[in-house]
Amino acid sequence: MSTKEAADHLALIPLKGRGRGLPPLVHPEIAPFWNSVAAGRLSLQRCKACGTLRFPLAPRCHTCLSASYDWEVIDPRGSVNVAVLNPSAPEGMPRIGLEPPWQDVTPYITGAVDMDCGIRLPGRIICDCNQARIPGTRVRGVILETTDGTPVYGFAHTCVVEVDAPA
Amino acid sequence: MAIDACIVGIGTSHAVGLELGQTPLALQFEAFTASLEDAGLDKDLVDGIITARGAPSGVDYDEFVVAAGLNVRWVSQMWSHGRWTASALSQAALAVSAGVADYVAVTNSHVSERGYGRHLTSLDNRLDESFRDGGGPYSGWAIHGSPGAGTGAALVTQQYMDRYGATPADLAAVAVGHRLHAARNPFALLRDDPLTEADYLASPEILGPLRSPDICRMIDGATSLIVTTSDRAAELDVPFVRIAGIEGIRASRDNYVFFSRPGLGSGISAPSDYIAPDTSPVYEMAGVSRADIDALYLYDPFAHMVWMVMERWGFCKEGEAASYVRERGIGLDSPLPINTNGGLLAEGHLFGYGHLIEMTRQLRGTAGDRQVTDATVLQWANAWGDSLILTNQRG
Ligand SMILES: [Zn+2]
Ligand SMILES: [Zn+2]
Repeated sequence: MSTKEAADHLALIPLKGRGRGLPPLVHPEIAPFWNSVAAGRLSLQRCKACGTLRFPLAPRCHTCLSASYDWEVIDPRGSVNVAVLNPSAPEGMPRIGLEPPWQDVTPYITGAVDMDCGIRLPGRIICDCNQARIPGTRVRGVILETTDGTPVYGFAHTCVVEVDAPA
Repeated sequence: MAIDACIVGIGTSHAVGLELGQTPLALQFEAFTASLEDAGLDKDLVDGIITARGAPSGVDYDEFVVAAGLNVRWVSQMWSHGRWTASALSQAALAVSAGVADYVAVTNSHVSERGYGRHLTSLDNRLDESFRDGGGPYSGWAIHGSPGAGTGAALVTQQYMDRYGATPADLAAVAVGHRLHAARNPFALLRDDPLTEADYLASPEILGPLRSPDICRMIDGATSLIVTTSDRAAELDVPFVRIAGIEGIRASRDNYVFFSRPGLGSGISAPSDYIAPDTSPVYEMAGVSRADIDALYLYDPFAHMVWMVMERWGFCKEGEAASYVRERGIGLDSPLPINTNGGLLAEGHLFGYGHLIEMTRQLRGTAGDRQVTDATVLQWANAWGDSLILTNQRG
């Protein structure tokens, strides 16, 4: 499947039919992150005191410990840092190492992406040509489905979406 | 304060496996009583206890104190993880050295969800640290399809292979070496389950580059070690084994991931070159150098951890452990025997305490077919910086 879609450069592109993974545990402090994903944007916290952009999501800045921050939309593009393929169970073998629902989503690629804003984010990486398993491959943020319908972000390679859509 | 601590008693459950049919409490009793018998110690003298594993798949310290009729004056209980092995034994050493307890039992049990745990509904609780907003300590990112330890280890292994060109045959040497050790260990889970490089390469990748032999299985089992001062140890009829050096876990944003040495850029940390320190506090405290280490023991739930630890501690340069292990092995005839009990990979997942018991046996000279010749200084070391030096030499 190759659904190249033009989109504005900050948009997370929704993908269907790529398997339903675990939904996130959304709680009030981090709800803005997931609300932003649902609205098609990746947003991270930027410290209002010292300007540090941060991940993991946290109530305070790891540099200056300030509790004051803004949610800032980031560029959803980045380069693969590491990616692994979690394959389907070999014929006749139990699927060890993965709990539901992930064993039903196999085969899939997951890993981490060095975002252009300088932050590394974990995520599934959708790629039908296997090139995204190579570190440095360009990918962009997408929206993936979960078992309870809460959208989760992920990434996709140019074989699936247009990575560097014009602004 | 100088450390003055000896291991005077060691014990395990009668076996490890998935079909032992015993509760964690029953298994822990087996290990505890075995360690008392080994030390020749009455239970009423045990006045300190450390449990790292705890409920629900193990036994909390208070449950055990009540069940065993102990009366202790010093307790420590850590989180349910194999990460705390060195910290647990270090705490015991510090406690007896400071005199807050005389005889400390480092006692742990564990049952797997596929073992006795299938009778315990409390183990159905899927609350998982990989649900942390930033992911768990293994790079465990439950919502992204890398839940828990296995995929976290797979990601680190992949990073290492991407960066240094290590091969599946390199990784095979780790699992093959552990099986060879296990074949000489009658207690080992996989003692009768030999593995060749060809067997390994014929088995499919199941989590990233990891294959089944790279991943240890959770099992039922228990361990116990008794720690006391050297003066008290001298009153017991046991060979001399001393805890000579301790060093703690390091943690920072750039040293975040459980299954990686610093420098690989795992989890959220930045990649960098890695040069191991020439020496380390654990060696300084023990008055030894890296060259004195007769055998190395490390936490090996996944095979690549051998590479991580050898490089973290400078037994190999950055990127060189994979080919080193393939060429030189980890056996008794190698320059540096590693995990001579078979490790978690082949003896069974005893959270590292099985390794500490093996180290004690080696230093007593009672390791049978797998005895390291003239073993005098052994190191437990992990990729995230915690370490112990055990020796049978007096200070
Ligand atoms: Zn700040
Ligand atoms: Zn692709």
